Amino acid sequence: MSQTPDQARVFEWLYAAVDEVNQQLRKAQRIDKSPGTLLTGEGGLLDSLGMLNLLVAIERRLEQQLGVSVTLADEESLSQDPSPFRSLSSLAEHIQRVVLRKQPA
Amino acid sequence: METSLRCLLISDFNAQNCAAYLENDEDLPAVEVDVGPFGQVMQILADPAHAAWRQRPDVAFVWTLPQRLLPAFQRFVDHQTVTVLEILGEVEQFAQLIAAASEHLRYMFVASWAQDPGVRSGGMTDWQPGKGRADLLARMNLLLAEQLAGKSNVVILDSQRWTALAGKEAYNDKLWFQGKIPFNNEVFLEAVGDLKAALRGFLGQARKLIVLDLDETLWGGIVGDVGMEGLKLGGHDAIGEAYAEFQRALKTLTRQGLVLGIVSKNDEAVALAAIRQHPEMQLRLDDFAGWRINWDDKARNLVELATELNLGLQSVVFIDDNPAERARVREALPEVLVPPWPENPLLYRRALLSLQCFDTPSLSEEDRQRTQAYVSERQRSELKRQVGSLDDWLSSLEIVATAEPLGAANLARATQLLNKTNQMNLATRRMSEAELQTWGSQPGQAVWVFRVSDKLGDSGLTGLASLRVTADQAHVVDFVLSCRVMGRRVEEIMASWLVDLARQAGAGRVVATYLPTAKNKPCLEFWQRSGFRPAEGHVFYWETAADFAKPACIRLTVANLPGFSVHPLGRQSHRSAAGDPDGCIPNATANSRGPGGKLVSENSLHMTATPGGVP
Repeated sequence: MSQTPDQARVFEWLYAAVDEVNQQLRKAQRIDKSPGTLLTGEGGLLDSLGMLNLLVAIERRLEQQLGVSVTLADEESLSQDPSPFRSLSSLAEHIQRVVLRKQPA
Repeated sequence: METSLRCLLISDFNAQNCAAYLENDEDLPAVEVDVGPFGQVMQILADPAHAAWRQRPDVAFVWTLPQRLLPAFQRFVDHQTVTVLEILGEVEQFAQLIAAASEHLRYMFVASWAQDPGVRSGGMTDWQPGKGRADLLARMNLLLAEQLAGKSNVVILDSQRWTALAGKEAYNDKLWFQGKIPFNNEVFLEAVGDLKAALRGFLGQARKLIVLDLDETLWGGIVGDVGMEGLKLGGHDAIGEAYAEFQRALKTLTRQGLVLGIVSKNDEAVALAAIRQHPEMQLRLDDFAGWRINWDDKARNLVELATELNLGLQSVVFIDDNPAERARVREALPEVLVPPWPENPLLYRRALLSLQCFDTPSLSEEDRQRTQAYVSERQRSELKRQVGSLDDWLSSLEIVATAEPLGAANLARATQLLNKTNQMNLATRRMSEAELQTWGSQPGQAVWVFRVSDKLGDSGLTGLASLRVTADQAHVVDFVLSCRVMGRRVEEIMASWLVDLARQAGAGRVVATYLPTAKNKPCLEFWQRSGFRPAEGHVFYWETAADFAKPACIRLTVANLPGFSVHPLGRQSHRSAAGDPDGCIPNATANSRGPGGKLVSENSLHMTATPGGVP
């Protein structure tokens, strides 16, 4: 069932996950659904619990939609610089790379 | 209406997600949430001085995982040697801490313990008595419930329902190992829904009236087009069976105190004939408190119906298959709950029974008989049309009002009345059962309730009045009457009772202070026309040297409560069978007076004023 999703679909799932996380945040703290939204690092809008919730929500959607089980925050990605978790756009690219790695050769 | 509370969330897992959903949930009441420090459940419960209680919450919600809370249960899970008694002993200790902590709260909620459905614990041995995990969890939950049954402000919420609804998605190992969050958000959302429903129940904000459309809602088809014979209802047809089951579910709800109404665009005679005569109707006319069946706007009809039934729009749920009608009512009457409704009638019953707006902490006989009360009211209205003056009509009803002191037998219903009544409510105090009982047992303070019946039916416990005597004044603190019996001069009987009590207690004056709310203007209007003299600041007073005239159309009796007496300082106790040396003999059925106007042979309240007053 696995297939590499295009960017539009990835953002669709990413924003759905953002909707889920926003339900857990006070109105003033909710994050915008736009590619440039900063997540971590300087100016980042999510704390560690928020990032955990967001990443797990995305992973669940990937599993439901693509039938593929991924770990977005592994040792390698956590040590990358710049961080793939810096913004929604960098996270979207990271998701595509991770899913692509899961494709059969 | 109370709209916000403060809640302390106590847990042995990371409950921040739950706290966030609870705080962000837009259904009333709003809840401000503090989360207790992680993994200190027993410490927080055992110590009222713990920092977690610093914000003085109104409510606490305790949610634990049994293997983390109870060491003996963890040993059981690990297949180490442990007895059921050891495990249940720990449950008992936990229950005792919950009970003690609840003394400092208005309400306490405890989540029951659930199994992770995704993990097979014992397989075929899961229900072996004393050996299987499912069996043990059931015993633990039952013991917890039994231990807390006597605490009226403690409720156990069914966490198994939340995890069952989420199914395979209930537990999330990624969240657990990375954040000590055991559940996916679906579980937390269900928990918040049930918690809010229970809070509304305690606060008297549960919905009471379900207003239903007819065509394609209570039955399949349009009765005006296909006739009664052409309706899909009952029989061996899946759709017909589903409609019949939906009606049966509604009927079950009426036995839990809910009332039904109809708002339908139809020819009234045709619709009523179908309700009366269709052989598969599960609901008949006497199952409905009222109806508006015509071609007028449904929102306007709904308002008229609610007004006729003396219910506010915040008590109403509107169910209609037509999305346009639902949208119209939602827009015109935002206080009415209009739940999303499935297109497929096979799903109606489940949609009805999944609503979280009907929870109440207790069910009284009055609740069970509520629909019958409305039917009787229809008969009273019919009688009124036949009789001339108001007093003639009231006399024809042969109304009896029975006064009785607040006690164990009537505490639940009295508290429910106090918390649910808005219109005829002097001070609109909201109290838990424990708070009301404590208040009424203080020296110089007493609470009386009134039952009202007439020849057409029993309206039940529908009045409550409380008095506080300070120096030579008696203050009416609560004066509450159900809208069901408003306007039948029961108000005057209650006022006269209070004047008599005050005189007996040696007070020279009865003072009632009206506290305005958005809904209790009828109470002000009563006191303004009562004959009590007005003073500044919505204060009304009566000099007890003068009698307050009792309306002749109501017979006042006093409840015969064997074993009950009132001590001079207002403390209640049991009396011996030999009689009460304090002179409180609750045996009278007539309101007779001795010399000096003192009540004799009544259940006299001997109250002594406490110097400086009681706060």
